[in-house]
Amino acid sequence: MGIFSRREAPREEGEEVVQEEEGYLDIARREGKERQERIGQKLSNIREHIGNGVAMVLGAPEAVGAAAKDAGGAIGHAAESIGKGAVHGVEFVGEKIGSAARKTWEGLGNMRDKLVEGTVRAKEGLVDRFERSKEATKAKVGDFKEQGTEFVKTKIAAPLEDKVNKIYSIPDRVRGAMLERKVEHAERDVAEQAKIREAELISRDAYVKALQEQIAERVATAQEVIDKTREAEEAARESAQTYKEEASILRDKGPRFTRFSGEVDSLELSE
Amino acid sequence: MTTQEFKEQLKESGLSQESFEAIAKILDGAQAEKVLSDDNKKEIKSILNAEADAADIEASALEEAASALEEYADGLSAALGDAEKEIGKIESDLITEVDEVSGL
Repeated sequence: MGIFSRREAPREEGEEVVQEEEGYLDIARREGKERQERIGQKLSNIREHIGNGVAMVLGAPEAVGAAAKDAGGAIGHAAESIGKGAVHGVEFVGEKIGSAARKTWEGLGNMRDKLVEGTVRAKEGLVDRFERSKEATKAKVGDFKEQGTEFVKTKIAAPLEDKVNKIYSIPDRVRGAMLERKVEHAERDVAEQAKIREAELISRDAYVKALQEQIAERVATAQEVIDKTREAEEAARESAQTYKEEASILRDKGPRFTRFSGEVDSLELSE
Repeated sequence: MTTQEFKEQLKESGLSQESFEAIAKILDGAQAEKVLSDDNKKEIKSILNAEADAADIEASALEEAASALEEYADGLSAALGDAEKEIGKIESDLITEVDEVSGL
């Protein structure tokens, strides 16, 4: 027996674990995809409703015109009163939609920032855990080297060290989908804010239209951030599954080599 | 078990090529010398035990990395869950407000 304790896992047991995990991976993948679709639908609804709201605001002057026209046949203060009421209605609609659009635009920005923050925190947690585990494993390999022969040091421990480094590197597909805390988000926010403020000075219509455009931008960005996060999640689960399968195979090897070692003393030379 | 049978079984065992060749060389030398000495046996055992330990260390590293990756995936899933709730709230607030205005 070598210097490290090992868990003996019969092949059948290992296979059962892998099968269970495959089921779990499928469930996680399906649930993630369903969530992604639900979010996509909600974002699409947001765009649609903002479109409806803005159309109400932009269509309102026509409604005022129509009201005034309808009132054309009336006389004196009755016509004036209808006209004033219609104008007041237009202002109210504009104000309400403008406020709802602004709240939506801000809400989407906050959501995106929180999501990016959450994913970055998860990434930092992973990097930190990988680093700590790598150090602990390297210490084990160091002990292993110290107690081994020259052959063990160069032909077994050294390649093992390389493998450990590779194991504790973030898989390429996961790394590719990881989000960063982007300065460009903050820069984009400032640019969006400027466009909205500028439009606000022109007219209410320009303001709600500018908000509609910026909401569309934020919906697109939110979708992008969500898709990347999903991709990173799925890639991480798949890599974890691959690692577990490889570990299961190795767990079978250890006891096998130990058994062979136990047979060495009773070996007989071939005829 | 004879040294020849042992070698054949080792070949199929998943042992690294270098370790297999090293053990085969010791066994072939012993065969030529017509004696498998205690030193030979000790050397073979040290290689096999080291391979077993290396497999164990690598398996532990893979399991730990898998667990860390799953924890990361769970963190992302939780962040997406929160985002879904927030988007749902933004959506429902907007619908309520637009419907309220359109109903005027």
